[in-house]
This record gives sequence, C-alpha cells and structure tokens, in this order.
Amino acid sequence: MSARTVTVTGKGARPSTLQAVAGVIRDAWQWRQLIRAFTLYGIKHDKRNNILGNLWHLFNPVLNTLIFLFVVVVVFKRANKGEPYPLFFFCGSMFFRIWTVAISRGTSVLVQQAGLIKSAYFPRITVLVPLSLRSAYDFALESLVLIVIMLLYRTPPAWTIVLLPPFLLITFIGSFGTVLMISCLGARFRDLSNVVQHVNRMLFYFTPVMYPVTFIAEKYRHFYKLNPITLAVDMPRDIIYRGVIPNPILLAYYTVFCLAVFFVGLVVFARLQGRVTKYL
Amino acid sequence: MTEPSTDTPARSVAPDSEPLLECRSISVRYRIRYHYSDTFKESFIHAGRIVYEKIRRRQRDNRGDEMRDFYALHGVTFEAYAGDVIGLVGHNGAGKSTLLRQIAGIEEPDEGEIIRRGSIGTLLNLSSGFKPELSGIENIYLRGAILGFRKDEINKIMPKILDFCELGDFIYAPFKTYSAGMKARLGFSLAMYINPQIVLLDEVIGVGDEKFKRKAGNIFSYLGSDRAIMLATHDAGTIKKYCNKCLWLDHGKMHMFGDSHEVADAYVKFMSGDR
Repeated sequence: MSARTVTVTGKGARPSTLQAVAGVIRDAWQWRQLIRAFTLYGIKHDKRNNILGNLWHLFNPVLNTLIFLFVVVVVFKRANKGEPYPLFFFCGSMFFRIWTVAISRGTSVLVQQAGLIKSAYFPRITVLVPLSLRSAYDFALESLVLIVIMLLYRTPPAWTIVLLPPFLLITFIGSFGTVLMISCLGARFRDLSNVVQHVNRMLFYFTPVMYPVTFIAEKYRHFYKLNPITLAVDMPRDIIYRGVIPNPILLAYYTVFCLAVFFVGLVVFARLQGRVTKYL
Repeated sequence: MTEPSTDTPARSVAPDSEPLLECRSISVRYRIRYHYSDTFKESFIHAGRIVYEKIRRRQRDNRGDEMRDFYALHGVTFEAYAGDVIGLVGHNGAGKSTLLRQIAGIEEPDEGEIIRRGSIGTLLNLSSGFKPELSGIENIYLRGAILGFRKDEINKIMPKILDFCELGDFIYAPFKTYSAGMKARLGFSLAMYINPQIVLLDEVIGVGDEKFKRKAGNIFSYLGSDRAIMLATHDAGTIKKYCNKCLWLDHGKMHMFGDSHEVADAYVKFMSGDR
C-alpha cells in the first residue's frame, strides 16, 4: 500500500449521497483483493469443518426436495400435470434461495464479522460482496444437480434458456441490493434476525416454490404475481424447461424491482456504514 | 542485529520532517450512553417516551440524562514523528483504546481532525482480527489483505514473520488452538513486519513472556526509525523501557504529554497515591 496521506475530519462535513455512493463503489474496486480473500476463505472454511464439506450444499436442497416430494405427491397426491415434481421443486427452490440467503445472511453478516471490522480499517463493503459471490458459487453447484435431475427425467432444456444469463444477473443484482440494504440495519437492530426468519418462511409459502401458480384462484393471480419473489421463482421454470417466453411486462417489472432494490440498497448502505461500528 | 541498551529509549527525532500522525483536538462523543436500545422493543419504548414527553410538554426528569453527551475523548491533540514510540497510559476507561480506534480509522471522531501520512498496522486485540478456524498462515494472508497488501507482498515478508513469531509447525494449525502468548507473537510480528508507517498496539506486549518482550523491544529499536509506534499499556516499566514519549489520558482528556520517563513517573505516583 502506498504511503498516502489520509485526513479524517469530524462529522461536520458530510459527503453528499452521490459522493458516498461513489465512495462505496470505489472502495469495492480498490479492495478487490480483500474481497477475493474473504470469498475464498469463506468457502474453504465451510469445507473444513464438516466431513462432507461442500457436498452439504448439494445434499441440503436434494433432501429438501425429497421431503416435499413425499409431502405433496405422496401424502397430498397433488402431482403437477405434465412436469416431474422434483424438477419443479428443485428449480424453483434454487432461485428462491438466492433471495432468502441474501436476506438472512445479510442481516447477520456485519455482526458475525464484528471482530474483524473492529480490528483494523477496511471498507465494510468487502464483507458484503463475498456473501453474494458465495451465493453464486452455491448456485453453480446446485445447477449441476439440476442438470442431473433434468437428465433423469429426460427433460431437455428449452430454447428460452438463452434468457437465463441476463435473468440470473438481474436476480443477483437485486439480491445483493437486499444485502446492502439490510446489513447495517441488522447490526443496529439485533432482533431483525428473528423477524427475518419468519419473513423467509412466509415467502416460502406465499411464492410458488412447492405448489404451482395454478393453485391460486384465477382472480387473485394478478395480485399474486405482483410479488417479485413469485416471479423470481416461477419465471426460471418457464425459461429453463417449459419453453414459455415470460410475460414481457412482468419481466420488465422484475428487472425494475431488482435494479431499484440495488440502488436503494447502495444509498442506504453508503449512508449508514460510517455509523455502524459504534453498534458492533 | 545489535542489542540496543534497553533503558535509553529516545531515538533522535528529525525535527524538520513532517509528523506521520497528527491529531488535532479530536473528540469522541457517545450520545446514547445511558440508554442504549439494541432491539426494536427498546427503540419503540424509547421513541414512545420521547413523544409522550413532548405531548405532555414535560420537562425531562433525571431520565433526561440518557441523552447527555459523554465524551470518551475530548480535545486530544498530539503529533507523532517517524522514530517516535509513544506510550499511552491512563486508568481503565480513560480512552486509550478509543483513541487507537480513531487513529486506525475504524471509527471516525465526532470533532477534530486526524492526519495520517502513511499506512497503518494495528494489533488492537489479540483474537479479533483473526479467524479462529483458519491456520496461522492463512490468517497472515487474510490479515495482510485486510491491511491492503497483495499476496506477493505478503510472500516477501513471510519468512521474517515466521522467523519472529517462532510458532514452528503450529503455523499450520488453526488459530483457535493457539495460546494467548502465541496469538500475541503472531499478531505482533504481523503488525511490525507488514511494514506500516504507523503501528498501533493495544495491551499486547504484556501477554508475551520475557523472551518475547525482549525481542519486541529489539524490534522497536531496529525497525522503528522510520515509523511511529503507539503502545497502550498500564505498565510504567514498559513505557520507560520502550518509549521515548508518553501520552497520559485521564477521562478522555490529555493529562500530560512529553518525555516518557517524566510522564511514567508522574503516572505511577498518581496511581499509587491518594485516589
């Protein structure tokens, strides 16, 4: 690190919101080495502490799928018409998890890293970015399972899968925005982590992870689809194997939602990050 | 490395050079000292009480104290030049650690200005700043990245760090298995060899054994001439031995700043005297 002069002035002169946001982005770029280190050590750390290591990331969703296969198909006998339930559930839950992991880990990440944060100065954004990179890594692993499931059920991917990369990109932008928005608040209000548990569980039942959208009565379906997480869960199924082009208005709505979350998150984080150390 | 005589601390300071570190009347204020709401419930109750008092136009009673400003630091002004080893003394809660946190940039002061001309190395706490599950080696890389260094830069100083901390094969064991002394040795050698211009150490010398203390003293003299070191401690002996200047904080205010022997003697006299 070059011997540069840093002047820290008291809180009198607060930077404008735009300056603060630009500062966050600059920090993230300048400290990319640290972001890399946090991400790699995070993955490594996970591997070391349990015998099966990364395989847990695959077993958890697979076991979850088997449980719901039993509950929905065997007990309630509500198999979906025309699509294998494991494929349906696994595909939806993969995308659902991107959001819920962002919400739950985002709430606790600063508190968990309090020791590091209070030991030296480094931009706090560097502990948030690895969260989303980890999530992307887990997603990549789960995709392998999805491929296996598709092979098992002889379901070829539809041509609409070309829409998947941009869809994933905006999804991760939105989920990272959630992390930005929620992280400082989670450090300030510790009971947010309890609230978030219930929010995540509610989202699970309010979105079509375990049941198809058609279970919702026709007249309510429009409202149901206003929930962006509903779109996040169901659109990928259309794209990946149903071969249905998503409704462009809903797609645009989802995109705007994700970008809005991201920008609001940036502003919230840029404004709150300076104050957060006092609460750790 | 020649053994320096241990009780002549003062290296001469180039008087015409710019100070590496300037603190100009910095103050740190904790507003919510007596009322600290950590949960929604407390925040709601607190907000409710304020609204209630506003409506009733009631003068705040003693509870109004909760909003009183508490100064953890008040108007602290000093400079540190290259070559300085500044001891930091004061009673428990005098603001030593708070001062170091401000200088390190972990927190920002409410008033005043801190000018740092150079990179910072810190060892503010023995175990925070290290990941317990990672090995010593991995922690060195991580710590280096936290302080802003690239992997190849760390690789260059790695032999020196390993040599100084004398952990042997324990360097490959998880950090959580280390004893306090081992943690101190690792943290200290990192803070010193990672080559920052300003080094901040909080109560870490005392943990090591005599051999470690002697090595630490050597390294201060050996590496210290182009950097400023600040060292918080309770031990006047440490101050006299290693430091050339000493800053005495009392309830967040500067009580005395000057030659280490003078301040340390006054401090010992004060602490053992009528309190």
